[in-house]
Amino acid sequence: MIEDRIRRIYVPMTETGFYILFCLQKEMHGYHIGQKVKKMTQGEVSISPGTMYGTLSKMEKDGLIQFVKEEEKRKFYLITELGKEILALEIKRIERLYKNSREEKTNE
Amino acid sequence: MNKIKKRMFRYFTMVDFEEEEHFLRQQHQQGYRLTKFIPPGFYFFESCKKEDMIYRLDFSDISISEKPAYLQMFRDYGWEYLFSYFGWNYFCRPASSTKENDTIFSDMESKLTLLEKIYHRRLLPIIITIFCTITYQITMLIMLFSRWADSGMGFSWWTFTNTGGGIYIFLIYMTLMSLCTFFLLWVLFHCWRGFRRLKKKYLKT
Repeated sequence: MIEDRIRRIYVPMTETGFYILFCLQKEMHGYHIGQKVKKMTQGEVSISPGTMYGTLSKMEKDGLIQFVKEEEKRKFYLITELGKEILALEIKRIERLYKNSREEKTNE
Repeated sequence: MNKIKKRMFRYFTMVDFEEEEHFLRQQHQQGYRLTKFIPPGFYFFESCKKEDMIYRLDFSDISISEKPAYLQMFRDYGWEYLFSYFGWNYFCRPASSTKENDTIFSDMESKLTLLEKIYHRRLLPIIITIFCTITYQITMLIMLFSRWADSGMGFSWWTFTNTGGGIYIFLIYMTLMSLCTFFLLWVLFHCWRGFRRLKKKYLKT
């Protein structure tokens, strides 16, 4: 099961962390993730290289993602089973948040 | 065309990297690009086209094996790598119309992590050094005092050190050590204040 320590760090997740983990359901490298997130959010969420590198290193250390291969000095990562569990928890939390925010609006 | 070279001295501590970035940007706006840096504060410039170039510093004690991928990431994002000194990596990039492109950290957590890294790798060793030198100096002073107290009225500075002129060397040595300690204490106080200021600033982003 998910370690308490991991749960405390990653649930809830930062917006940056969420998008990185979400994108890594497919094998990708850092800059590519940044480009995809920019496209997904219409340029509203931008992840800079220092943040990207640091977050990827941390997630790899915590076991949420795994190193797959290195091509032309670019490291490719992929989400792990633990990462998928955390991501599912986070999506559930966001869905609940969204659902409640919509219900409040309709109840006014 | 002959390139004008210039050298400047500026002392930036571990908490003044934002000021250092601003200084380098100003120099480039006046037509001087950074070519070399020699600690503790010698900056070497070469004349170039006047441009609004953003300079950014990242404190990252990356291992040699990790460095190529780290630098490639920055290169992909459009940052030019200059050099590294003592764990500080220097990058630059022409200023762009979108502010997000001008930073290397885009969220609060990574900025706070940066501060933590600097604190653990650079400030803690200074604190330990100060503690050791102060302990050492106090021990020396206690020894000096106890010898003086023991020998009573017949105390002679000369015999204390057992060598002619030794007392002067001893005093110079203690003075130099005290100056070093005071300098380190100033650095410690300045950095402690700087960390607090930066942490407050980053928590607001």
